[in-house]
Amino acid sequence: MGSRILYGKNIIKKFGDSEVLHGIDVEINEGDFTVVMGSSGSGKSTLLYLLSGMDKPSGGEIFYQDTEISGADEKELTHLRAAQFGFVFQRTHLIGNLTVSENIKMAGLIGGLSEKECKSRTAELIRKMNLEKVQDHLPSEVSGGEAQRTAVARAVINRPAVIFADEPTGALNRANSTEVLNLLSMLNENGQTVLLVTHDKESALRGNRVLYLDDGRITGELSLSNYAGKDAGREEKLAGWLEELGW
Amino acid sequence: MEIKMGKYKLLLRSAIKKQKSTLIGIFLLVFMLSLCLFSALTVYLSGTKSVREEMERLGFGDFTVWVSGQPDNLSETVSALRDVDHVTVQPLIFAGYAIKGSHSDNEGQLLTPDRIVPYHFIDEDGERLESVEIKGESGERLESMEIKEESGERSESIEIKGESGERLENIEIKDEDGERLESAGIKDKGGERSESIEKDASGKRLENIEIKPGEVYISPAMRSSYDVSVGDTVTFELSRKDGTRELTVAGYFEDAFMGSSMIDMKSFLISADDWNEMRSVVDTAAEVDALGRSGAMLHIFQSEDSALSAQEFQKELSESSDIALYTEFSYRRESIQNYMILLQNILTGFLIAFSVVLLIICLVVIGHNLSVVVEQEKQEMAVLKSMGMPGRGIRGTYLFLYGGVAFLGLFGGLFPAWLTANSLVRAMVTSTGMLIRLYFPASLILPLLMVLLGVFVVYITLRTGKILRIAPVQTMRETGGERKVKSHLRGRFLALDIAVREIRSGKRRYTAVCLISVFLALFLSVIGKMGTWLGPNGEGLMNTFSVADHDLGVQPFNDTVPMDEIERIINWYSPVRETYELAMQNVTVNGQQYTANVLDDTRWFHVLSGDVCDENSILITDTVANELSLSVGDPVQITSGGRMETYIVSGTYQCANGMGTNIGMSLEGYAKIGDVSGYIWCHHYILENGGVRDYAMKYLQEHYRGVDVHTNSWSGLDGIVSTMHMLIALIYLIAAVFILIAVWLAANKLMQTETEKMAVYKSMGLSHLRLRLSFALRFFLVVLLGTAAGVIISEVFADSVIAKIVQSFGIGEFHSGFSILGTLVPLAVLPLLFFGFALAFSSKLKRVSITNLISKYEE
Repeated sequence: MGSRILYGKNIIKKFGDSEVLHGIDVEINEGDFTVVMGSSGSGKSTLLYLLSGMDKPSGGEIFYQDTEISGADEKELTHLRAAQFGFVFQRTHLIGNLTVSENIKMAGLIGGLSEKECKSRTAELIRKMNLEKVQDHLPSEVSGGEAQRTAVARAVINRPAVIFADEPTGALNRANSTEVLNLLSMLNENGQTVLLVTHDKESALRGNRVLYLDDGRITGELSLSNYAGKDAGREEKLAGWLEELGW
Repeated sequence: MEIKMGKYKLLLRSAIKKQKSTLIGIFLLVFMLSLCLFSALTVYLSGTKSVREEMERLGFGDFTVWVSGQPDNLSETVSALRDVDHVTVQPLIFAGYAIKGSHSDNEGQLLTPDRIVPYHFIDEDGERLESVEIKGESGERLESMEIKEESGERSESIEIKGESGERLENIEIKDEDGERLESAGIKDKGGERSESIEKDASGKRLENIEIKPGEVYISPAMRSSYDVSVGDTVTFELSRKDGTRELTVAGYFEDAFMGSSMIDMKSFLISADDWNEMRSVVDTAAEVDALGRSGAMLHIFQSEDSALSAQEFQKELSESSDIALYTEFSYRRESIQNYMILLQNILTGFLIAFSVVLLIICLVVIGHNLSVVVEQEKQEMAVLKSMGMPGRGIRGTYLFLYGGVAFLGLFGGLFPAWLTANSLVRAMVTSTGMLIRLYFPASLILPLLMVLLGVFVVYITLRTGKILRIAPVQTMRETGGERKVKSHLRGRFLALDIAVREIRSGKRRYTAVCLISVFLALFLSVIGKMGTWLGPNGEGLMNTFSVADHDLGVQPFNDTVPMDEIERIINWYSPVRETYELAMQNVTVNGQQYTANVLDDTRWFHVLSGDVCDENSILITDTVANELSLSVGDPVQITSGGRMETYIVSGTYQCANGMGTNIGMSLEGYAKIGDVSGYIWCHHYILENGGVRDYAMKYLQEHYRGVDVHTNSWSGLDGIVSTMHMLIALIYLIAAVFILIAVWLAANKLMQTETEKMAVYKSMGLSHLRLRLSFALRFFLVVLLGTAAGVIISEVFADSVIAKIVQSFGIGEFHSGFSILGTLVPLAVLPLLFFGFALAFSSKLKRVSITNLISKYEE
């Protein structure tokens, strides 16, 4: 287990009068593939966006590398997003008028990579993500899986410390889902910290740590070995744990 | 039926809610169009009507001739002509004058209100005077008066009429304390019963001011040219022997001819006592002492059954009577009207032209917004269609909504336009010399309003045609795709590169902004060219209106003027580079009266075509060429003082003086028909350092008598220059407000469409400042392109178009060339305005949250 990279203390989030998170304490360790599971409305996506600085908590504190980010201003958060964090969304949210390669390159340019570095990193990621054939296509011209792989490549071009993935396979078919999850696993194998929010057991199996959220509280935590391909015992362990939690 | 209408009501309500800001923006644009167009039209039509009616009221004839002296039986001779209905004579005194130590370049004409119809008086703020004093012969206020017939019998009945001749039912006559007078004797100056009493603009009051001895009433236009106000003194120069007369300015009056700042000669209204005394001074002065002289205005009315055109009538007068021998100058009624409303026509003409540009912009903005709305709402419309709502119904809802907004904007602008017109005419009093009586030109404005509404309705109908073509199933399956384009993406210029990419991939979204900038740039460039041609001090007009360029003109009126000494003084101020002499004499050309500009050195004429004139030929202006159907090489007969010669037209030349009603002659040519030995010559000097001309003029005016010293300027020039500058400022202001609204609408629509894209950029770490910069740069680049196109079109076509327009003012040639105001200012100002406003409106981007990218975020 790596050192603590991201943690929150007593995180509270309210939308109007409704409290969605009720004082959660959570830690994300460097190099971990942490999965947050929970039923719809449990507050898992809310937790992801609070930990990534996309939204501000109503109470409590969030720290990234021991620096509080819950009170950071827009400039500091912009810097974090550009250089330290990468995001993968359920809907790919690629820029429609940029080609696949330009979408990846754009993130690198915003992150401050030199044009030369940006070019070589883009080429490398296109190769790794198997996007060579569609690199000059617009997002509207590629498949869902290709688009999501592009989104993953975009998220990692600046070698972020943490990748936040919000239901990245939610809109994909099984084959494309597996491709994307393989990519995330591959990245994690290379030391990339991943925080994945999902309600899909297949996706959850990729993590070495699974947190279970129920009604705004973490009600369970499961440690798994690092993912090394299909493993019936791992699947059984997760299924049993989820059953205990009332999944 | 109600059930059927209910769904449209629902759709309408939903559309209003969703497009509230768009609708408000469009309303404001149409409102401003209405305000600009209808205020300009109201001023234009009211001004024309007002001047015409005032001239009729004051008794100006179809043809008015200013004659010097008191020619015996002239009016009777003219009255007896077959085509003349009648002639009225208004006696006057011509005299030079000085105000606050400043000598006028021109003589003034002194009048006394001896006519039945009184002049209108206005106060310093341009308000018509509200009070009237009715006094007895000894000056005491009369409490009670009897209304009597001419025979001295008490009249039982008197008809009091309004301006349009209708009988007024209720007129209050008040004393100084505001008490209602029960009875008043209403007589004209001669003690005759007055047939008509004028009411004022508010319909309540009489306007009859008693001018006391020692007082003078002047045109309000003199306030701008001489900075004169009530209480200042005007000194009239009547005779060397009996000296001058000083009168105190007691107020302002409306002069339907000389009142305009476009005309150098000014009228002065004085009391009958002063007038008679001054007339006797000038009439009894020895010729050598006389500075002032008596004269008269002959108002000649053409008989109704006369078949002669205005020009033929003028020719008939010259040929069948001796009138030409006494004429100082003469004008047709139309010419006087044109002079009076020239400034107002320039102002309103440009505002009306600008309104056309605004109309185009309104249509472009509406069209663009409808396209975006249809694109954005396509899915919803498809669903509605799939639910059985007809396409025509959906289209009708949008037509009703946008047409309704156009209707509200057009009608909403009417009343403010009236108020604006009211302010405009008051602001122009010191230029026009008259307080234009506003009327609502319903017969033109209401049909025009309906036409404009029709244009909007047809346009909206056309632009919503797409709604009919939305196929429900196909549309619901559609996913938005963008055009693929190639452009650089560089780290250093990322904001710029993103802007270029957005423009190139979404060209249609920026077409409206581009078109708006083309039209605005074109118009502002044209206005700028006019301003540049005019020059900061009106140099362009000076050269256009003057016979020939000069810095200083000195005309001695007698042999006591030491011209050698004057020239030494001028040389002291600045060495004289060139000098020549000019005389302006009245002649008839093929029977028509014109001013002959005679030069001893014809090189100084601004020749437009053909050759310069010599002793056997003349130059004509384009106006004269059109009026007399003459062209180069044609023979013309010129008469002066009973002598006639035939000359050949050698060419055309530029001189807009008298709206171009003049010809150019050489000294040798004029000598064949006129006396060139008198004091008719004005010495023109071109100085090495023209900047000192005003100082030299002031010195000479203060130290020498019997001499007229002037620069290449005239009093009306200041009015034109300030009007033009005001116009440019006004149009830039309106353009800025229009740009503000147009950018607001376009930026809102773009930001609505691109919320997700902006959130994605933010999630990648692009700061909102760079996002805003990139957003505003799109407007800058598109507008730069549009402005460049507008300026190029203007550079290619504007001069020839303006030349056509100014031809009607007697200006034969217009060349502006490259100018900062016409070329660089729009090129810089428009993109910067669009950029600045877009940057300001893009502050909303700060509020774009990345959480927009999260599905079902608020769990």
